Amino acid sequence: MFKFKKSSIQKIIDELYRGVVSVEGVVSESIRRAEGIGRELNYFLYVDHDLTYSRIDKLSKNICEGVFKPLTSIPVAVKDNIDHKPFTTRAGTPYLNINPRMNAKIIDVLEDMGAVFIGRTNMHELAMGATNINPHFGPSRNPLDPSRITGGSSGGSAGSVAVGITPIALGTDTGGSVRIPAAFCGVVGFKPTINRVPVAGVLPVSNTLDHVGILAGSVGDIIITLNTLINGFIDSTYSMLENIRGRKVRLAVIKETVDVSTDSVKESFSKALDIIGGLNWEIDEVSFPDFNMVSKIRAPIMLGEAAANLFDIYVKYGDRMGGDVKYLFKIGLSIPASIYVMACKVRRRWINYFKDLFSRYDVIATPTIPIEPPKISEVENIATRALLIKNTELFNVIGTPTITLPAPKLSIGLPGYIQLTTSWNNDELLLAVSLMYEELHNP
Amino acid sequence: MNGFIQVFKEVFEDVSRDVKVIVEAVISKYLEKDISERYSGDE
Repeated sequence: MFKFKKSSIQKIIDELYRGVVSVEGVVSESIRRAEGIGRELNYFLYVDHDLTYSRIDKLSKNICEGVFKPLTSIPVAVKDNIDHKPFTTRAGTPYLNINPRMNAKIIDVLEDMGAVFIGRTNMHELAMGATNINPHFGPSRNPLDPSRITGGSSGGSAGSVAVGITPIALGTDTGGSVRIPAAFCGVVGFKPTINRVPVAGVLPVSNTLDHVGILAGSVGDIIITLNTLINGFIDSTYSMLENIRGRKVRLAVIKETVDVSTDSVKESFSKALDIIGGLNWEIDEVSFPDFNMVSKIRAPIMLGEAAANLFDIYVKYGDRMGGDVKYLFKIGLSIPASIYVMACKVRRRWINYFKDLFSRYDVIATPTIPIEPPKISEVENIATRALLIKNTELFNVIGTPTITLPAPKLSIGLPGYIQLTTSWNNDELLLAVSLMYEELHNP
Repeated sequence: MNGFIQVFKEVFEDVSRDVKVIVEAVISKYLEKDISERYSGDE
């Protein structure tokens, strides 16, 4: 088995194997932290005790019988919009109360691999926003500066990983909802190629933009988790790593994503590129002239699909929804079908544009978010909220695998962030280059 | 059913300005390519 230097999962499994820790010890500590700092910073809507302790008994028995699975005893936090029986799916609302008929695929797989789900995490209401300021349950707070947002919509999941409650957490990403909170909280956030990890069992927002994603403290832990979902993922990523160590990786920076960023973000991103420079990769700057059109093209797709998917929820509970979410529904309901189709056709042009770009470059890099994590009191500003998703939403529109990694610190002392993406179904390449970057950047 | 239609009536009035901005942007982008390019492409 390939050893990942920063893997918390492998460390726990190794300690279990050597008898240094027990399943009960690992899981109890996770629950203790979820009930402590997790509640304090508002990362969990529900922490499970009953099912968790019955899992401890089962997994402990397995270990006595010599059965070790790749995720045995690994605590996992689950975003509140992912179906997991017998819990109700509430998607960060007090009004939804969906009893799922079956688990999301990712839940079944991770459970079969020994994971222990310790609770359901706070999120932006219905996953329709990037601040994680939830009008019903309160904001999740940035672990590094609680006066600031975690970002969202998977903010509780990012926080859980950042403060060490769980080594990994599950999230969803329709415009940046895994990558934005991961970046603001200083952890790794990954969304795969669209549909490579099934979204069945997630309360839908947008049929063509939704992704299931993983948040973790290291790239290695993302790879280990993906290996449970995609056969041979560790081996194929390792082969890819060997392959690219022997050649120059061609990396393109999208100029417009840097131009839109604050000086502090630019400086951090530039230092991250200097780190990459140490890998002797070829770095170029490219332009995506339609960059400022992305939000306008994504809006009819995301909001039109969301308004259709969740129409009955809007009709029944619209009066109880937060103002921002309710307004997005109204726009979605008002978008003409002709405009939706035109937007989808423009998306097809952009996919072709990026196919051409990926024929010349292996990796594209951008700052993950063009601004620093805003104060909770600052995000009422619509312009600030739009900037949160400015550099991430493009990669939902085109569906490429995309990751955010910590970068050198911002001027406010919090971790910076760099976003990398590769062509479709090249998730292994993306994670291999991310491993190389991570080896050089050890915050 | 009447309730559902009422929902649409209300929302159109509330968001017409923002929807107009989106509609104009999408149409202008879509029409950047002329008709022969649009039909010959795979969009």
